[in-house]
Amino acid sequence: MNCGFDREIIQRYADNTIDPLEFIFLKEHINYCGECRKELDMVMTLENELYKFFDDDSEIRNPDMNIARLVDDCMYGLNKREKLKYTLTRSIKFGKKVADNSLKFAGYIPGSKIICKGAKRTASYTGNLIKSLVKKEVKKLLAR
Amino acid sequence: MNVEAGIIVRCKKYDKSAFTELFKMYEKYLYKLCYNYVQNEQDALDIAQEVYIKVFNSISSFDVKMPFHPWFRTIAVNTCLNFKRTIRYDSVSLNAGYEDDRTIEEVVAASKDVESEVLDNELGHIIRENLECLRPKHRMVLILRYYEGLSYEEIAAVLKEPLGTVKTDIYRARNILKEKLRNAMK
Repeated sequence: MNCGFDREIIQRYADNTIDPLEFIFLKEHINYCGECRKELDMVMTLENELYKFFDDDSEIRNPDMNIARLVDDCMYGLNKREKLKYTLTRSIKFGKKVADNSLKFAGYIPGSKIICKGAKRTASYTGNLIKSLVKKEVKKLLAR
Repeated sequence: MNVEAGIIVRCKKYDKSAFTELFKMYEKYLYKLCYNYVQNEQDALDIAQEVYIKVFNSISSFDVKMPFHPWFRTIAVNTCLNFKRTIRYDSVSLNAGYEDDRTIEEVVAASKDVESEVLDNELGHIIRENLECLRPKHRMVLILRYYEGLSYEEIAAVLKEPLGTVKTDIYRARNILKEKLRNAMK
């Protein structure tokens, strides 16, 4: 536009988001600027046509999306996924049960209690031995 | 569109009749939204079907306390924006017979292409023709504004874009259509 008027004000007028001050400027401006008046007419025409266009159903046929079949297909797909999920969950539970039972079974092996006691005793003896050795060496170092 | 919370709760339990009821409720709205975006019947049906499948698959993550329509609309909008038109290579023999004994050659010569409108001076047809020339995002912004009646802030929330970007997109789209309209009216 040669007049230098900000065309966005015209857009904001069409949107109904124009400031009161901008509205005054626009009103004053189009009184003497034919180009902007035409621009405003064009924008308002387009605005009305766009609302009419998107509201108009005459060009759009009634859809036939076969909803019942679509839902059937979705349910079939879901059942497949649910079955797979169920199978996996059951397999994991089963594996866990096998591991738990194996550990319990280890407790029933003859001699396992004796072996456990022996292992505990050895660990305790070894621990005490290492402590006493360390204490001795530390005393020697401190004595120097 | 107001959807009863009861239907959604039943859908979350994968009740087949609830889904059928819900999808039928949205059939016309969804198809019109998709058709406005692609201006093509077959593509509109493809997108609508994809939207329904996405809704079905993600219904379990939907919070019943929130309104359903904005959630559905977001899925539909994103599906439209991600849609890439598939090129169809359907071939038909031009010499094959037609219902009323005309050959397809004669039908094609006499009638208009299914996917485009008769060129006349009506403004609606001019908009329809030029809507397809707009960028996908510009088209979608116009649809959300003029079909859904959303404010700029709501459009920005749906598209997850800044308000300024949405305004710029609408202004640009309107300018393009305005110029086409101006040229057609000369």
